[in-house]
Amino acid sequence: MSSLPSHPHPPRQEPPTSDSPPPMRFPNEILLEIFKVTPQGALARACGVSRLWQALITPLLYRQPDVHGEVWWIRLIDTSVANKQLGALVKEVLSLAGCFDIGEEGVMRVATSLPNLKTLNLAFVTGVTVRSCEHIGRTCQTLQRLDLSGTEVSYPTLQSIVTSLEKLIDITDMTGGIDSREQFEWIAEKNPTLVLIDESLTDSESDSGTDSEEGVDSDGVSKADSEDLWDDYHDD
Amino acid sequence: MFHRANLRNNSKNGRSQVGQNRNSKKKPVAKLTLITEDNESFTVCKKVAEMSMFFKNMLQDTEGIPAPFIVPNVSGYDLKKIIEYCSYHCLDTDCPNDNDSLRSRRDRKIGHWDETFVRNIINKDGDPVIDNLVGLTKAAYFLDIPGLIWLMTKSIANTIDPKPIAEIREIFNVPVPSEREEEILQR
Repeated sequence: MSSLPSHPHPPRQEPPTSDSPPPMRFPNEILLEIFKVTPQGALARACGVSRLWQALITPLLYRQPDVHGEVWWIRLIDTSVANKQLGALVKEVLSLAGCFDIGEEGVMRVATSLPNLKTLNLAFVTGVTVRSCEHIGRTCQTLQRLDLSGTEVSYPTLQSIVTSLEKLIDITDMTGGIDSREQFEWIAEKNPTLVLIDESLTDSESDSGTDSEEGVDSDGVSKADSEDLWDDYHDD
Repeated sequence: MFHRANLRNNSKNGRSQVGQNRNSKKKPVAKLTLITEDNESFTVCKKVAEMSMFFKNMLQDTEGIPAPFIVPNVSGYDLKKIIEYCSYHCLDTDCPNDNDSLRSRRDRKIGHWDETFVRNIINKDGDPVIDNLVGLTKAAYFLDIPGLIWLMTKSIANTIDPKPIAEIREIFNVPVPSEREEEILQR
């Protein structure tokens, strides 16, 4: 050690120890790293360990809620409506894909109670209507990604979404509502950062006619599908 | 007799090869001497040290091998373990060592070597020894080794996963809250 007198950081002096050394504890930032890789179920239980743990875990639990099935989304929305702070914690992703039973009102409640959402997946959700889409446009200003595949979104609705959500960079499967190349180009022009997924429309001019027909067809099919599913649900 | 002769021959060949290798290398392998908080010194290859973003940045900034480097906040035991981990993984291309692919990943599985590595840190009965875990995780965090941070946090997460709250408190040295606080937490 005598050969290193010039080093600027000499080893730290141990603080004077009392009779028993203080118990080793994880610093908060490491606890947070641990909670990030803990399964959701265990996290929910670990909330009960202490107030500190609860404070660290709650934002993580709500950040990316695990919503599958109707019970969970209803519970999530109920707690979010009751406690605005919790709703505001849902920041990243919410996937309601396949939650067929969310009606128009349900989609609007989701949009109202979770204003900080960045990614919303509404694939095959029957409640995606003109009214609920306009409501999403008004309330979810931070939205960046929206998945509307398998829904009955028309071109005017798409227009209103693209106009009102300025941060939007990605709408998945917007082809159902687009009938012509002009409409496609309007959206591309309105929001240049938008990732346009439909390759058939960008390919060449000559194909656009047949493509638009296909678009209408697929729209019709998806409508029929979702109505069937809706009926099934009510039969049960 | 034949066997022994053969063996001797082999070993001789092996030794001469090593010798040749040593001679043919013009540039010596860049080595770094590290001295821990409790005055234990370790010599590691540059490649091994570069698993740590802390050392990588330092080596880039200084453009060369500095004099023996004192590592604050890290004990000899922890650095020994860290070097063990880094020497194994510095040649392993399958195991990512960057934050983007590792942080917050719940779904990745712990590899076989890693599992044994962690089991040796945790004591024999399988109950985690908080002191070793805290020390090593803190050291990995300080030296910024994404692969090891992930491994440690994931292993800890796995150990708390099936355990009841009372046991988690015991492992993590969390004081048992008063009854009134307990009530609040249950809600």
